[in-house]
Amino acid sequence: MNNNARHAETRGDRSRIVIAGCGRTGAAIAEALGLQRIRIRVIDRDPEAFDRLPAWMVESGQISAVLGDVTLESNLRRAVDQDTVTFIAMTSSDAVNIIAAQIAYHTLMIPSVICRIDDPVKRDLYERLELTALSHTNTLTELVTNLIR
Amino acid sequence: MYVIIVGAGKVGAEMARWLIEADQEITVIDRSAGRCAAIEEELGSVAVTGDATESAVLRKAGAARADVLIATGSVDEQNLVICQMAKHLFEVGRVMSVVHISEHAALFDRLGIDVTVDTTSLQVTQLQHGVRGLIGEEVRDL
Repeated sequence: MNNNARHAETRGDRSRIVIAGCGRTGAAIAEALGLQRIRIRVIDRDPEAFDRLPAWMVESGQISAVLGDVTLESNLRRAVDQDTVTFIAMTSSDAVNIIAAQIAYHTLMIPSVICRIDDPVKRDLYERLELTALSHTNTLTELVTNLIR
Repeated sequence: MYVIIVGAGKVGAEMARWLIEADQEITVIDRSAGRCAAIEEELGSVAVTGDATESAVLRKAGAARADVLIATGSVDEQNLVICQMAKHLFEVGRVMSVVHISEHAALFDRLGIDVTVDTTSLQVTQLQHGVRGLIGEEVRDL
């Protein structure tokens, strides 16, 4: 699959990326993508989680905060619209990310879905089931092994 | 038939009793050592203590030769992951799950869970049935 071509479509003012989970990782990704002038919506069930977002980006509307439970389709619809091209599930729970990503892909029909799954066994399984799955565990293992080499 | 039951709460324990009564082979998986001990006290050595969202725990419970897995846990997304692992990693023939949030029932169906039981909507339907009877009597009394 040509990921570069797919991701190129996400640039521009109207396009939008939705991030589920505003923990340290979710907030950092929102900031990094916001700096590339991509419009971001972040959804989390804890209003205090949004304190992690850079205030100036929230004020300028580059990043919008949406309160909701990411395991529910009805709540995800508050953040997702027809301009959403990429959905990123980044909470600290594998199971929450897996259900949110599958709602996004199979029900909301978002073309590109990226899912954080820290358990490598589940990561491989859901990669087979059409999600783009990334694992802290695998990434850190690679980084550390490269440093030791 | 070999059945794995995830969760040794009220529903899981009752299913375990019923299946043993019907002469089927079962294993119950639960995170709580206490609940597993209570099951074993009553039904013999049929319990595995552990987190069933871990593939190693499913393997230890014999998922590779299971015909059916029934997820009765209290967290819907964990039940989903357990059923999908059973189906796709261990090729369990039929996977069944309870859901507590009604909105999840259609999703579970779409994602290939063979049987989904919506506990909230079951209870609401029964209660409505009970209340409907009372309303009917009131109407008759008038």
